[in-house]
Amino acid sequence: MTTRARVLFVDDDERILRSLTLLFRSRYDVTSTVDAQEALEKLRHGQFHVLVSDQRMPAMTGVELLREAREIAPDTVRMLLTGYSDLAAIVGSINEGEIFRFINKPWDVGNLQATLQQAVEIACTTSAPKADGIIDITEKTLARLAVLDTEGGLHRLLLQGSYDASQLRHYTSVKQLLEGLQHAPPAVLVTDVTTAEGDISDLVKGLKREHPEMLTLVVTAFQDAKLLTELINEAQVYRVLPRTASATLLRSAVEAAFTRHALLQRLPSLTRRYTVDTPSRTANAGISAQLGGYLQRLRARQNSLA
Amino acid sequence: METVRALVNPVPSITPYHTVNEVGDLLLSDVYRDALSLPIVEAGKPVGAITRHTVMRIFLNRFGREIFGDNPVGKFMDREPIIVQANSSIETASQQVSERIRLPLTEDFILADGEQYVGMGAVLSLLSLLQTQLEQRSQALAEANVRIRASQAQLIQSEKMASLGQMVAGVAHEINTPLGYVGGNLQTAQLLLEDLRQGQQAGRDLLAALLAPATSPEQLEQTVAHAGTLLGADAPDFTADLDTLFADALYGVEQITDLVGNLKDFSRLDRAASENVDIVDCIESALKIGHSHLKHRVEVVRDFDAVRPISCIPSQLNQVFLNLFANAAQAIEGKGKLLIRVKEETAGIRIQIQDNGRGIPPDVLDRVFDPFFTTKPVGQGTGLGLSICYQIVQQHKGRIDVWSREGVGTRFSILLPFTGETQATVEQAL
Ligand SMILES: Nc1ncnc2c1ncn2[C@@H]1O[C@H](COP(=O)(O)OP(=O)(O)OP(=O)(O)O)[C@@H](O)[C@H]1O
Ligand SMILES: [Mg+2]
Repeated sequence: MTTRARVLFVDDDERILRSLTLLFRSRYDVTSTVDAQEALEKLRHGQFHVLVSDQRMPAMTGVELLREAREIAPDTVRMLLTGYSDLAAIVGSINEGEIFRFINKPWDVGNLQATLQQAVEIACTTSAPKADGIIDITEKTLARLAVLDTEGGLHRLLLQGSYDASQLRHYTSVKQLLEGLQHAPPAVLVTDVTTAEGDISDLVKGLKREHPEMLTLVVTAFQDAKLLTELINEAQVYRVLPRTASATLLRSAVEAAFTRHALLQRLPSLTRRYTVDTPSRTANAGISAQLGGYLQRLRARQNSLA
Repeated sequence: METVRALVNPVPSITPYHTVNEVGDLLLSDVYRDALSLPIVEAGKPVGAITRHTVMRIFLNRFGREIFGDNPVGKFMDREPIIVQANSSIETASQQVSERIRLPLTEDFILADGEQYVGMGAVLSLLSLLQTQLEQRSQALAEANVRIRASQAQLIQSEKMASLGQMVAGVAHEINTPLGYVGGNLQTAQLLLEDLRQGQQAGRDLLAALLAPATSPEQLEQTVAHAGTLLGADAPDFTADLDTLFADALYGVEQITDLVGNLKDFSRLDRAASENVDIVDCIESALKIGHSHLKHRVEVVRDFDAVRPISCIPSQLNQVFLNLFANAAQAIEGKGKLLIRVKEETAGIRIQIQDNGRGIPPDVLDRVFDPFFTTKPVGQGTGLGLSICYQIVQQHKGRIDVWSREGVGTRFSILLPFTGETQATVEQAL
């Protein structure tokens, strides 16, 4: 790269900014500010590859800043760096901020360097179009929707949202889902993270890794900050919704996911923006094993086709 | 339910046509040895009773046995004996019997199912049954009492754990920011140190080259050039960066030390009463701990007079202030203000904590200090916060009042007397 990538840091503690600046100054063109408004102003007037924001700030929260940044500068890869892992912030950063990574303070310099480098590379090689609106509705209807739901409540809710049952694939077990996926992965997958089969976050993570163009909508009880953070960093879930979500809410999330999927179809390089981190742990050995089997079969098939 | 059926003594009944003599003989027989009265039954239905007492009186008359001995007992029987349903409860039976019984005790009562004779019951057995039951009840009550106390203690414990948890979470978050740059700076300093080390090595190499007679001019030139890039006037000077990194790191460590120190003060478990406590210090310490609730969202306005020190249990008062701050923060949606006033009055020190949150509806205002009163969803509030505040203030011989208006805000006002006795608190302490 001839010109250095531009990175913008926002935090209300100037010592944090100094620390980050001194760390990254030698690699990137670093700009920093304690003022979120000023940060937005900078985004309006100059191009930045990566934006890293704190969550709790006096005038504006990090999520608010990232949401606006998404509008002003969709190309800029967004990250949250925070000492407060409160649930509202995490959920907001997914649904509103569509962030690339959620990083906790205190951070590890090595990891932060690696993450930032990844973000910069992605920002340099892909560019997000300004609005999703350019996608034609007919493209959306071609998209396929799958739901993994043992009890049937989620499936019913989707049908209530006036989804055509013929378009909707309903799987009642992980096994069924993995069999179905082998033939054709859906555009959008709706699932809970804890089903009758236990914690299936390993599955959600693994599928995103394998099928980055598939968008995941996760329904959850919103209790576990750590799990939600993993769902950002290691599964790049597209939206999280409360278990109590209404049919309308679910439908609009599905619509948004379809639109995004159509966009990814058109500009496949964009899927790089959903690159996931290597999972930090195995939550459920049984699910992991099933996933492993699925990946093996998939490879075997790909090899025989090649 | 326990019934008096347990008391039934199924003694054979007699008829009204048994003679007085026959009854006298029966009363002497083993079957009726303990009976005070005999049931008189016709066609299964009790029609009367005759007491041992009556029979004896007949026989005690002069020529009583001769005159009345052959008469049917029906002539002398009590035609309205005490009849109790066998399926009545012990209480009902006792009530019925006690209403009718004559003293001294001369009779038993008849037990019946509907109109059918079942057997006889003795008043004394009924009494002892009643007593056993009372004992069982009072034991059950005592047990229930123990259980209630235990579960209350548990609730209070869980409230304390919850507020401790909240506090720890808040403080952990507070610490994460300085910890972020302290750790980051040290790691960055390590990286810079590597650069400095290379510079130092280049200097050493240069010196060695200069001092070694065998160094060729080309070698020397190379060494000078290398040292020049690393150490020359254009080379970056990392020492200033290192100064900044270390100064910030030290500042961060100071911040963390401060927070941890406050936390320690705060959770002192000894509950020791201290003299000469400055209430303002207490409030500041609670504010530091509660900072994460309030930070950025709630502007804290201090209106503190310099006040005389008082004797109190600081760790408990800390808890009061923290609870009130937490409530205020929870009552404020979005941004708001918290006004804290400390004034000296003749009776003691007045502390007012006022927020501009949603306020408390008038119909529940006088219940907010009740234990378990909460308007927060299950799992979020135990409703013990204010009741604990109330108890602590009372133990300090003080008083706490609330004023509130919906949509305007809420003010808690605490008066802590100078002469507040605090010994009582140790034994009563929660
Ligand atoms: N500053 C305040 N503004 C508005 N309402 C308040 C305020 N303080 C207390 N309340 C009301 O009084 C109730 C009881 O308060 P209390 O502190 O005893 O329990 P809680 O806050 O509900 O639960 P906990 O303290 O265990 O989290 C609250 O649920 C709330 O409705
Ligand atoms: Mg409370």
